[in-house]
Amino acid sequence: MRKESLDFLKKLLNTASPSGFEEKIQRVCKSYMEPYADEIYKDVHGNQYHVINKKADLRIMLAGHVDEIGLMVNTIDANGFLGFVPIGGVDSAVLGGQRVTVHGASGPVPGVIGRKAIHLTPQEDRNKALEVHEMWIDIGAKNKKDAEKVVAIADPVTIAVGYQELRNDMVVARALDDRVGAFVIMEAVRLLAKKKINVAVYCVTTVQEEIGLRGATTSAYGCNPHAGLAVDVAWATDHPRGEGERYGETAIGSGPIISRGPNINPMVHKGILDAAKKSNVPIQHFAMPRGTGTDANAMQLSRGGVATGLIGIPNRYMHTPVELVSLKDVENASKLIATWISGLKANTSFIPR
Amino acid sequence: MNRSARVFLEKLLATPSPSGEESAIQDQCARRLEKSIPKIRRDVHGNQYYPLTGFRARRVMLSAHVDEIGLMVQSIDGQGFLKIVPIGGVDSSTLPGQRVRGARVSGVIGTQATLFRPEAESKQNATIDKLWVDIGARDKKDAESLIGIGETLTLDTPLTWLRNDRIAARGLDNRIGAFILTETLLRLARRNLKVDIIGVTTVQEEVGLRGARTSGYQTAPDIAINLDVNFATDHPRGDGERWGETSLSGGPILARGAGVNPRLLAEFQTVAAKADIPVQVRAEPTADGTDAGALQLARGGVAVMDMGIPNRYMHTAVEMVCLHDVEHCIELLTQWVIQCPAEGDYIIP
Repeated sequence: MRKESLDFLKKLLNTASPSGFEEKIQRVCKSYMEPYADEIYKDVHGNQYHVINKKADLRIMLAGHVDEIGLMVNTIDANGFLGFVPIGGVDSAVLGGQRVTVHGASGPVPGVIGRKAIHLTPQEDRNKALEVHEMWIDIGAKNKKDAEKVVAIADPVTIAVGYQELRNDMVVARALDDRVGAFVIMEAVRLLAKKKINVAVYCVTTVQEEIGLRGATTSAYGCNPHAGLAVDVAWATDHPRGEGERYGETAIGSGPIISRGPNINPMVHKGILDAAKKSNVPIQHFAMPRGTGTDANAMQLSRGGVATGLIGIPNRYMHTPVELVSLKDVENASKLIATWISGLKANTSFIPR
Repeated sequence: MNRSARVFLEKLLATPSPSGEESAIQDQCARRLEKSIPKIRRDVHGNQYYPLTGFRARRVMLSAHVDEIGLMVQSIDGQGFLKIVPIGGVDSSTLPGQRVRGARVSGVIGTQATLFRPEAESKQNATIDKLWVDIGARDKKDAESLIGIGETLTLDTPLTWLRNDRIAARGLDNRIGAFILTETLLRLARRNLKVDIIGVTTVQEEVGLRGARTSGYQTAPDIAINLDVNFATDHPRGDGERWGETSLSGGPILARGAGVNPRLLAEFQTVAAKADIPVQVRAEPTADGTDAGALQLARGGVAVMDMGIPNRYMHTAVEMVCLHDVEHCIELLTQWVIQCPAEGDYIIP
């Protein structure tokens, strides 16, 4: 991967962005995209639009959500321990023993997630995952007053882990879901920026996906596209207990995962398959017999309907602090999207035939 | 029922239309109506529109979903067996032993023989992850030459004509509603109307009222009348006392409750009484589970009616309706539209 691009990806991954607190990461996106986008603007919900070739009649939206799951402080007890609630679909089984960052008004505050020692847990409860309310955050405060100097109710919290490279182009980080998807769509725009294309591209780094596809709902209404692609992480099941036969056989490094089903417009689906052939990008297929849990769902139902596609970046260990993807898949996804968009004509129709 | 209507009904029911793949059945509907309604169009979601309009003030949407529940291929194992997932609310207890078909392939649904099942499991219904589709493939590669991940399958069952004008078929939910819609539009196309009519065959109802959301937005109607099947409980273990006493051949089922505009309901009851059409009322105390539920919430809100066709054995391969009910639905809807005044509001008094 190009050095500037990889640096940008690392910067994205090292910027905390729990749902509802995406301002900082949107600034990171803006400064990278300034040379490539014709226009960059934000809406009141926090979505950011990076637009190229705005004058074209046919509008294409690309959605990659920049928010991540996280925690939120909801109580501060007399001894200065912080109670917390999840932002989005947090797997409480992975929280015990993690270091965290509380994002206070005056700056980041380090802390750890505490729980009752396993020795003090009754035998019959030892194999059970603790629930969120059975844990707390310890910032080393002396008491409530001391804690309140640096932390307030409703401050967001993220797990304090960063980016790391493994063998064979694989990288781990917390919340590759879905900063990697946002990266993919912005890279696609970079690839398209110098080219002549027949459509307007609204590359939207959406907010609040993890708490109900909220940013895609407002931004799809806002830019009113004819067609759209959402890029999000998708399950790779090529690991022990992955149960691929049951959940679909998908693997890291084997290419972007293309969903098919009612949430996917068949003409967009075919266009993506053709673009994969043309650009020599390997792809994998995923059966999705209902509305997806991604921005593609909200996009399809926006206003009178949007022709929608979904591209997945194969991802192991989703919603844990060690999400894993292959950089090869990431690069291929950007290439695939740029190829699809380059092939669109001003009169391309997405009506199913 | 005249011959051309009967031939069309047979064609509709023989055309697979699992949610997300409705193009073929939309083509059938368009062919049925293209001579009477010139400006038929389809949108990117797959919904199809049949306008009978003269730019009058009041816009009435008549809708029925054309999709049916079905199955989708999730993975193909080393021996060429297909693992499947449901499209919509499939009752997996009815699947073992059924024939299925896809675009290029036929197959059967296999399950472990009763004799091999542990005593405790033998009395339980099979869940879908314990079933598979056998297309007779030699191995994975052989299967992949005929079908891919994400392709759809539907049960391969015929239309059966029973006594007393009753028919059994898969996916009468809601292709029978679409049939009532097309036949009503044919009758209305020959009339002078005081209101604008837009017929819509919607998509993806079975996976969450999705087509109604997009087509409701596009049509922006004042009134919407939606046709869908509703439960007939006049069979053994129907539990009518608990679920409502509704019967096959008892006439259209009109829903009453929060999801339905009370003035519209009263109009339908008046029209039915005048025309001597039997109707049944069903209590729907919360949001309506059919497309009517999504249409009511389109844009700033729509006055909605949910007209049901009595249906036994919903979401199985042998759904059953009575053609007398079908004819009564067509007649009631036609009469209501003809009598619908050009103005007046449906604000709940």
